[in-house]
Amino acid sequence: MTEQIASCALQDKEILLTRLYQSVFPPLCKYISKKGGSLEEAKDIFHDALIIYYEKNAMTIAIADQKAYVFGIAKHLWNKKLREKQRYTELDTLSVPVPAQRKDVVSTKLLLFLKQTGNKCMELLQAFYFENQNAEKIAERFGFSGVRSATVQKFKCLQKVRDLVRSNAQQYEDFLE
Amino acid sequence: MRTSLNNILETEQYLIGQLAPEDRLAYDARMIVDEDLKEQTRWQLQTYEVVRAYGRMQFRDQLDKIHDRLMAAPQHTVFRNKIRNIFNL
Repeated sequence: MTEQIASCALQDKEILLTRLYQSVFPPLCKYISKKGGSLEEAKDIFHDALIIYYEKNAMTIAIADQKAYVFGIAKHLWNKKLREKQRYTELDTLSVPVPAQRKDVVSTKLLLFLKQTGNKCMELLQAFYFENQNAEKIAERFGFSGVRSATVQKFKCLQKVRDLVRSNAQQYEDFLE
Repeated sequence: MRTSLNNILETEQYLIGQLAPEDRLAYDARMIVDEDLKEQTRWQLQTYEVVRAYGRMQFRDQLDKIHDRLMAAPQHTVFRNKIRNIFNL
């Protein structure tokens, strides 16, 4: 049996994520704690792994493999982080300035501004472009009469948000860091 | 669809590589002479990046809520204790 997390209903998504949390997070914590990591670090790594999993899950993955897949990404991220930590410690002793942690590419200030001014459009657009839901599901979820009106609304929103981003780019000069 | 929406649709097709080769060439040529189209295309590309970042932010919020619920709600005591034991909390 296969299931696509991106295409399932909102409630199912919450259930699926909770299930993944319950089955993958404890063994991951065990793994990370053995290597000296904290609960907070385990949580961050797990969330990053779930985001990667979610974004890559355009293809269908068998449910039984999902746990192993998420665990695998998390393990990889943690080991990468450990290596970086080690390198920075070595650099510290040489008193060389350490580059800042990698930030998300888009500034949070701009995202919060868009959440306030264009929440409905942002929700619709992220369903199309982040969740990769198909137009039928989106029409149903957002109460459009059909695929066509959902698609028209998508492009209206894209235009609106593009103009918002463009006209506020100077204010959020650093928005693409 | 209105003309402006058709333009956005065409730009999207250009950006995701869905235009036929000859249309793509024509689009490239138009961008050379049409500064507005070039700007519009640039901003539309950035808008997709912004939308995906927004999706990620919302997803992160959802995960934080699930985490807090599992670590606090009475029905998840077993889960919570398991995690706390691992970290000797």
